Amino acid sequence: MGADGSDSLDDGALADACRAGDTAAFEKLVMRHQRMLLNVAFRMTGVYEDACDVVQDAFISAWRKIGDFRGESGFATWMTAIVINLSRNRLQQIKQRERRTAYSLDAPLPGSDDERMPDPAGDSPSVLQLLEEVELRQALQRCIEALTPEFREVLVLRDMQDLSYEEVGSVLKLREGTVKSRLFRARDAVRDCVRKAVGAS
Amino acid sequence: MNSHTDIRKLLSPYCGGDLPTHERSMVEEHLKKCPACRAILADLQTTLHLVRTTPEIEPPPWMTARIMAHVREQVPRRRLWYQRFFFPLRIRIPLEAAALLVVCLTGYYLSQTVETELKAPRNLQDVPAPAPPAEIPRKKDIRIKPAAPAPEKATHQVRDGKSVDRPAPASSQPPAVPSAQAPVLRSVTQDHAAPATTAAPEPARSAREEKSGIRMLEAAPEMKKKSEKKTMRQDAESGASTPAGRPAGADADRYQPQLILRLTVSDRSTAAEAIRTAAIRSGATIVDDAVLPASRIRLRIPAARMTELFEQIDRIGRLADRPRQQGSAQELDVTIQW
Repeated sequence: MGADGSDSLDDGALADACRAGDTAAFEKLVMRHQRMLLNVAFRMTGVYEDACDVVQDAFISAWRKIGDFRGESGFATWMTAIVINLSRNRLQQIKQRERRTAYSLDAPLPGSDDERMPDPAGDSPSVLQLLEEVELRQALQRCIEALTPEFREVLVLRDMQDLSYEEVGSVLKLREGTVKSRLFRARDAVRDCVRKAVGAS
Repeated sequence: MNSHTDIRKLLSPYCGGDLPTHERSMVEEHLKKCPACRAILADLQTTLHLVRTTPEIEPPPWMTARIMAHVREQVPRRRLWYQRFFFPLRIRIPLEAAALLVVCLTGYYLSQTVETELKAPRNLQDVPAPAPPAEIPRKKDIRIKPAAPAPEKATHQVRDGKSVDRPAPASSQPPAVPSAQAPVLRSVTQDHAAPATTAAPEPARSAREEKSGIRMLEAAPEMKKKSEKKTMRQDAESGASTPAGRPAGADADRYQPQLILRLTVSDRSTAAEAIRTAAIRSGATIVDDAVLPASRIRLRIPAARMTELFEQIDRIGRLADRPRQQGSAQELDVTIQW
């Protein structure tokens, strides 16, 4: 919190000011929440630039629709729902983009020598552990991205962003039981995926 | 006893702390006896730890500024009332079209009004009425506008491009600037100049006018330029039929005020003789009846006998306009055109 008095205002008060056309208040909200929202978008899309675009579009959309925000849920929850929706759309665009680039003449052929393979582990134990850590994280990211969006959403929101079940249900407009069910299945799927990835390496 | 499958379904909520107490103790009981399920739980806990400790990424430093730039673009600027009125295109475009139409119509109306004013007849008493010169084509005469001002009461004579000032008998009159549009410019008598040859017992003004008229009799054709707007207005109000700026008669003396009558006749061939006869019967003196190309007769008639002249002319043809006789001039300079 800065010395500015408006920094101490809660999200609801700032949102009220935004409804009156106060862009400075909206800027406070942007600065307060952009990091969390960017992480959500990044875990959902897997591409940093796309995540930045999603967050930017989400805030612009929020400014337009600030009148719709009634404060039943928190501003962060409301924004997260916007980011999740935009991320779903962006995911479809990314898939289409990848489908096009898969047949690009410039891209290396799958299985050819040009395709970059994971580096083999070295002999040093510390390096091995480090590589294992890096590989584990890379494997985890790949496994999370391999989840279908509805499972990925609950895992990202609950286990990564530490939202409550109620908040996740509010963002995704799901019942709490559905959220839990999806979350547990997502955890099991990721565990399976990571174990296979580590075992293969 | 719970199977491995049932227990393993509970491992995920177990490691997340989402199990109720009785299920938690049941899972823990099973785990004590089952190394396979413990291995799975260990994997789950490792995975969950990795997920929860995933390093967060930082937003780019320009993100806030870029977002706010877009947001500020969307802030509606407060418009003034007329800006709000003109902003919607569906209102603005018809308004602009209507305004353009009004401008065009106004311009057309003004042009028509000016043209009418230029062609307006001149006053019977107060305004000098120039007669068209024989040498200058008619169409050229009509188009001359009273743009170049000439001094009031100016008597100016130019013959063959040479300017010769002739002092006025009754008044000191400054010379006028010779007009480039008139190759042969002669006597210009403005405003109150009046004939005086008849030596009528009138005020000095009438005498002056008559004296000027005598001199004009001697003058060659001229291009007369009207200079005063006042005169123009009088022309418009008078109801007479001489176009403003019309060149004055070449060899006719000028009586002030002058009267021009436009006559519509059915038979132009016999009209000249009939009009001439009518004028003589009315007691008029014919000054000039040989002015070409126009069919016209110029005559001088006592003001008291104007009514008689109108009656005579009415038998010959239809008079376009019968101007009211004004002023106290005893003798009038009348030009009849047909």
